[in-house]
Amino acid sequence: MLKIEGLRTVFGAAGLPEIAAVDGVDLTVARGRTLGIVGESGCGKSILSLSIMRLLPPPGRIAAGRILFGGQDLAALSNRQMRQVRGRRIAMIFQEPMTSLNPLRSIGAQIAEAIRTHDRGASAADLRARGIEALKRVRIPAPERRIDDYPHQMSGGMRQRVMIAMALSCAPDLLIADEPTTALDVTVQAQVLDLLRDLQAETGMAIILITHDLGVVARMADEVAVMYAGRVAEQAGTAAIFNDPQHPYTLGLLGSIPRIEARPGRLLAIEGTVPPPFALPPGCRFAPRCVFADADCNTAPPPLRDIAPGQRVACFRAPVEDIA
Amino acid sequence: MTARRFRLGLGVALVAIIALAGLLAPWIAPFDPNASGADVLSGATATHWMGTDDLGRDVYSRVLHGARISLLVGPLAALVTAIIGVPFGLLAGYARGRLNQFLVQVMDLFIALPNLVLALIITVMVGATLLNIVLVLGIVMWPEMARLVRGQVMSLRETPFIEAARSIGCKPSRILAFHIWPNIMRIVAAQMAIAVSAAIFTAASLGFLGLGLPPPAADWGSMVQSGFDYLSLNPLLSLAPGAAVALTVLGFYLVGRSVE
Repeated sequence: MLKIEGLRTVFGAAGLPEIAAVDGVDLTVARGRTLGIVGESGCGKSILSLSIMRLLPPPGRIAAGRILFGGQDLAALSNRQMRQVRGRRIAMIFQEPMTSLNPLRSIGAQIAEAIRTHDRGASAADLRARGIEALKRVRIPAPERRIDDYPHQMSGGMRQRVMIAMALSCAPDLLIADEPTTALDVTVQAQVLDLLRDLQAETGMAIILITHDLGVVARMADEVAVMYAGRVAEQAGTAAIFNDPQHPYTLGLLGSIPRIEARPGRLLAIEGTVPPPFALPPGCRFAPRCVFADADCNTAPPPLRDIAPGQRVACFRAPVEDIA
Repeated sequence: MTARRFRLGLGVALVAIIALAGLLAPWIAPFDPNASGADVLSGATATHWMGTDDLGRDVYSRVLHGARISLLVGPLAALVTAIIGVPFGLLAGYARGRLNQFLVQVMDLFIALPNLVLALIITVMVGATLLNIVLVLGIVMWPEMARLVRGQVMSLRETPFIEAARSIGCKPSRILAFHIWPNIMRIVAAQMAIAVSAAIFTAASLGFLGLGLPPPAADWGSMVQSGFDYLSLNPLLSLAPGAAVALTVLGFYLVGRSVE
């Protein structure tokens, strides 16, 4: 349903060299499926989602590539056409439920706005009924009363539910969730994730879940794309990513999660830091930190290639089993 | 906090006193402000509390009636300031690229011109009527309002709830009207109170420089100026309207600053 081809998003003021935050990304998401996008801060995962929504902060812009969605190339739509897509067909929820709602307007007014933006004819009574219905769907108790509340009267978990209610009020085909639970307590996190999964089962929408939390990915995603320095390092089914990771970076990420069953010892950390986007290595971007890297890795960037059915890796040395 | 409450209380009290004086002037003024009497340039007496001017008019009555003019000119000029400055600031704060640059340059151009000099020139050209003075003050003062609004919009534009509004497909006009404007209304109101005080001060300055409302209007600025020649005979002729200007300006300024 969503197919991204060769997407390159750059930031550049006049006279300065452009910096590519997303550099040649291919991804697909199918109806009713969840794609998890994981990576460290600055790997380009949030810029990727803002590119899909065409909400890049200036001077960011899409320099190349296509974002095919329901037969249209979102990268080529006019601003007016794009507004018809936003909220109506692709909706987004953000990391900060505390500040993502307008503090001066009741949540009912804000949900009504989301509906009316794409349905001009809705009457006030209709909007209210649909607002209550939307709150009920995200399991907010006593929605008839809570609809008149203001954001400051609600907890973080409640506000995130309101954000989800707003996002789903127009029944979008695709929901982009950018770190939807990072700001929430652990128990509330689990409730919100369960809610998202139930709503997905009801509506058949696709979800792009952006996170740095591999636990969230394991719980939610059907497929996972691991991003590193603006590129996809590895893409595979969730089970394959966790049980049979093929990219050294994925291996490193998994090694850095504390596990209850493992014997106590030092957690594995990946040596070094992510290269800054203006000083990228010429070959594989992970090579300087990779324990398996050899001379080839520094000559050219490795293409994303199929290594097993449904599993693609951008590494010359994969599969890792072959490395002596 | 208590210092702020004190300033607010003092400001409100001053504004209330001036407003009452202006509203009730026809009833509480002992004399017709424009009626000449035989008693010319008297000092303060039991009948003429602040004495009389060179035409024998009662200064106390004229100061009371002057409040009506100031309270008309100040708020109306502040309203014109907001009507021009707020939309301009909203647009300049939200627009990007060339439009933004153009609007900012227009704003800077007006800010660079000294208010009083610009007001003097325009008033000389269009003539000093009540309406003209209100419009001139608005035209001179709007850039400050626009600059304030622009700054507020620029910081609000980056907040997550504005991004969320864009993500549901809101048009820029709707975002400005329903998401940004309500969040800056309070600051605009405070700035309007300050604009009232600035307008009254500038109007008085125009009057003092001979560009006040034409006689016989009881314009405080003109009164200060005309009393200047007779300071030795009756200093209250200038001092009373001067003090009225100072207290009114202070009152609105304190209200504006403590709401901000």
